Amino acid sequence: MHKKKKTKQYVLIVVSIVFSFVIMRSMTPRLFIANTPTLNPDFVATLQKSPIAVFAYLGNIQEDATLKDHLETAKIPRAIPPEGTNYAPFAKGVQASEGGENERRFVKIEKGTKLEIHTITLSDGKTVKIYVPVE
Amino acid sequence: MYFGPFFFDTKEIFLILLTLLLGLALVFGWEIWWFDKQVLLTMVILMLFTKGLLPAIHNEAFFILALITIFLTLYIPIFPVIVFFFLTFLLFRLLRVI
Repeated sequence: MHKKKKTKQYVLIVVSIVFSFVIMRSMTPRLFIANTPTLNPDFVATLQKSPIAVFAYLGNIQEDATLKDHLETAKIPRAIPPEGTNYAPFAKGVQASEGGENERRFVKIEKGTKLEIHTITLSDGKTVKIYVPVE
Repeated sequence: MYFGPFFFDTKEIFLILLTLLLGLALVFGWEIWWFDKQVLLTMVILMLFTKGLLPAIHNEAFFILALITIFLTLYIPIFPVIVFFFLTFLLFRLLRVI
């Protein structure tokens, strides 16, 4: 009797650990950005829609590469442009703010636009990331 | 073993010694192969916290979870490991393992 109870205990321990591992591996990339406690804005937006949308969002398992692209896109710095900023298109899905030479420029990237990421080192030794729109 | 009004079992004393050892390793820059000292220290602090919530009768389940969690820190970043640790702890409670 005691042995049976012990076996049940071990089975429950294994089930809990395996279940938690699967949940952690499948859900964490969709709920949080780049292994940090920052909530994924897509998930927050889905959360505001309906509970059914949340299940659909969590159930849709993406390809690894797509997920990687998503995480890379999330790392692009975001800025709040001043109101009334005019944008002119300069590539498919990408628009840049109009302004003088010394003014700060803002770049608007439409959702779904594919970008190639290149890391280059400048002559002063500074490393920068360049996002090139893919046609 | 009693320290004043508090009783500590051997596992708790070892866990506290381990935390002190990790703290010393961080201060003096001792190398621990493959493991990240800060990650280990964070996990041990969380384990001390959760161990404080458990009676000694559940040491075995806690020991298995602690071993697997520490092993996972070798391959997975700290945040998902913390999620795994708390999720398993919650499931242990829900399934009445602890």
